[in-house]
Amino acid sequence: MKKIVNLILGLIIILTINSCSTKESGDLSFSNLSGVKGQGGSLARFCIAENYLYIVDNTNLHIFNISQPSKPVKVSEKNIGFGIETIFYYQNHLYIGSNSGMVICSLTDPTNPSVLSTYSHIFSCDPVVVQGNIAYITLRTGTTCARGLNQLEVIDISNKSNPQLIKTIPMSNPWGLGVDGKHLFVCEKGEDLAYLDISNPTNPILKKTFQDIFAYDLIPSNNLLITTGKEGIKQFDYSKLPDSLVLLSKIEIGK
Amino acid sequence: MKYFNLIISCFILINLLSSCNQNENNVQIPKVTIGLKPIYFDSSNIDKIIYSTTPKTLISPGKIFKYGSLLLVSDSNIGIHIIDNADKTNPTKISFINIPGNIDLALKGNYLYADCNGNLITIDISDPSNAKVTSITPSNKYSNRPTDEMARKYFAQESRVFYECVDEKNGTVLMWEKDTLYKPECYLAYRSFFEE
Repeated sequence: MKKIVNLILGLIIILTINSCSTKESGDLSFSNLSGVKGQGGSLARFCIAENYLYIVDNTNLHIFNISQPSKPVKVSEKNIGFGIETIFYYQNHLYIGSNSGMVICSLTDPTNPSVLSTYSHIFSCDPVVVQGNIAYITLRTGTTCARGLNQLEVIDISNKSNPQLIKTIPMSNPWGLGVDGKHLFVCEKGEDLAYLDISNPTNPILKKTFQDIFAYDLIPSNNLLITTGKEGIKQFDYSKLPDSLVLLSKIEIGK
Repeated sequence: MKYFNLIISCFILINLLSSCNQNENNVQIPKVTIGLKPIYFDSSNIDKIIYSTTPKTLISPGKIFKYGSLLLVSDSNIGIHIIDNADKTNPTKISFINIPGNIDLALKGNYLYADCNGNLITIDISDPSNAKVTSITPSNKYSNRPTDEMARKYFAQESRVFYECVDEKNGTVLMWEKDTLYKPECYLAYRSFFEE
């Protein structure tokens, strides 16, 4: 008798686990979004990783459980430092950009991100993006970072407990940045767009600067570059790089 | 030497007392004035603060979020444009969600996470023309008094701003609005940029 009860219990548990692991599908009536992963710009302070929403404010990382997406439940909050500006999720790690550097957190326990390392640089404004074993950080001078530098830093993060600066590339006044395959895009001065070839990820080569793009942040993905800036939202096809960046559409200010 | 310490202490004490008195005496509570009024979180008024409208013009595009063929654009401090981006050569605005003080955003399935003056709001956008707030996670940032930044935003020229005292029985403060106040008992004194 006991065996049968155990068997039934076991079955119930297996069934429950199965039902949990089925992929959630969005049911927005106007498009099919099942299994879609969202993507924000490099200046984002919100990021979603699996069933958790991570938010950074000036000093803290806030962790919310969103297994029930309609009702986020605050799990905890963690002091990360000061002057925190951005958060980027990549392969089970959080990369947090602050005035003084980059903090790498492991999400082995997603409810309690553990700080693996803090890479420090000169006091600047900086977002960070990651691809493979390389982190790209832009450092920018600004009103709150008057003493900073204007440059792109290439950092080896193969050992996440000990990130190493590989290369520094001078820039004019870099804002948001984005990486996709062998392409690295950097917003310059909120006006121009620098395109760097990263076929060799440790050695980005500036190929072209496109003028009058007017972007301060962007999202590159699958040959589609979406930019946001003072002229509005623009979309480009970058499959023809390095020769040309093809404007697909514009949503202009006031329209 | 002992006397010296005593004199210094008296001096400090007198200064402290007199400066306090000065403050009390100088600030007269006006009968009517323009100041800041707290808007409280309340399930009955949330639909009047956060709601869908027909597509709006782009004013000050800020952060962006891509989700499949959807593109979300935060219009700084006003709300979020929901854009159908299935045709990249012709993105079409579907609706606008009014969210005061919005800067950041993220989407998962039908649920939009957005900040509203530092508070985290969850919005069901399965019907973008009829967005529904499903959850509010208030931050304690604005619980007691408006910040100096807010006061500066509305009253850049002044060094003192009156505000309606917060009554915690009404709930958590969502934001502060410029309004006519009658005998406001609370005020904020701050150093304006011009004094520094």
